[in-house]
Amino acid sequence: MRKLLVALMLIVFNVCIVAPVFASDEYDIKDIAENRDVKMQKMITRVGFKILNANKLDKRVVFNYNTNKVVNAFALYNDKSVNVYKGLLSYCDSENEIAAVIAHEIAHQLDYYEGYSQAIAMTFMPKKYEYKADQIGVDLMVNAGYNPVAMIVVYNKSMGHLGPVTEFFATHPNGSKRMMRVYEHIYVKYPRYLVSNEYKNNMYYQNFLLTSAKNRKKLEAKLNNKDAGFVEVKYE
Amino acid sequence: MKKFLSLFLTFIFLGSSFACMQTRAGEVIVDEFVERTLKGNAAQYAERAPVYISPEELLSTKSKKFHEGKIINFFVAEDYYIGDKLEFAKGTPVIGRVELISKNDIMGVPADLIISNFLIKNGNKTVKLEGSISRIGANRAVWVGPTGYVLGVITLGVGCSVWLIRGGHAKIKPGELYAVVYSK
Repeated sequence: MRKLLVALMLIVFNVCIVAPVFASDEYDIKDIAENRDVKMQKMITRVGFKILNANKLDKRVVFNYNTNKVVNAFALYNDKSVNVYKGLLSYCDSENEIAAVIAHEIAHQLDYYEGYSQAIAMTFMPKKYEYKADQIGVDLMVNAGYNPVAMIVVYNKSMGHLGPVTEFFATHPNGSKRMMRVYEHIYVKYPRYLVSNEYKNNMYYQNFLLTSAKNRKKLEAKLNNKDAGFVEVKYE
Repeated sequence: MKKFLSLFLTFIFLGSSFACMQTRAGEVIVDEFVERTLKGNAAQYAERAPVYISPEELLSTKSKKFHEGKIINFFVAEDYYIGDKLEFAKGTPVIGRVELISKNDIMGVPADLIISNFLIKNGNKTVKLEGSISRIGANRAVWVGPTGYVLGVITLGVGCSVWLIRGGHAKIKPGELYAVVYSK
């Protein structure tokens, strides 16, 4: 009986004390630091907090990296978190482009902080709030020292051109329209980024210029007609 | 000598890179509470009283006059003192810029209006006032959406017509006071 008790105590001792000690050896901190996903999590958190602090936003937001390969990022109302999927990050070539994704989601969180009624409005008319988040996202990027043209670049790579019927039923607006709204916002408020454009030779920005020629003519016509006041251009 | 020179240049390079990072990320946020109460810098970090400003005319997202980037005229609504010195007299002009207009929509979704980047003349200098005015119209989405669904179940078609109700326009009225901060 005594032998059995001693054996039992030894097993308990082994499980409780010895096992965790050995287990901890399996997780070398250096290995963790070198893990790519951990690096991405750190990157997203750093960019997110840089935007929050530079804009002096007094709202708490946390940033999560999700290893799912879905091409998406979203802001969650419940815990005020911003979640970015690995699939979307594979479209980002620079910190500016990651900042564009995160700034857009932070803008959504600012709306969520307005309260539950605002969240309901966002559910009913998501397209309006997507445009709004794009515009505020540009402002947040500029204040944090990022180049807002990166938002156009990352959108051009990741968002498709929806047909009218598909767009009507979609929760998000047409990618082409969103890029033009962002372009218009930068043109009106931060023209210096377009005048000395560090993305001018970027292949994806070149493609945007190629595909948005018609829309940019519409914008020019609007800006030439100064008496018209606030008119939303119907981009294609 | 060469080693010393390369070390010196490395320090300068690192120092300048760090300085650039600091300016890009924005200024360092100071714990003013600790500065005031523990470090004895009460005068330097005294809580700044806000400057109250008011618009000269009614600003509404309903009006087509307003567009993003438009300069809006405000004025200082109350005399602003720092200590005994009158810094801004009542009526001093202030300009602000329309940062965002997002129109109201069906389903009771309200309009949004943000005005920021306030500038005021202080002697010969133009200085920035920190803060922004953010206005949201009447949010009717809370009852328009559910009412539409309920009526839609009872009488087909009526529900859809309820959904056409729009949210309110965002307005900033003359006489209303808005607080912005003057950092000298």
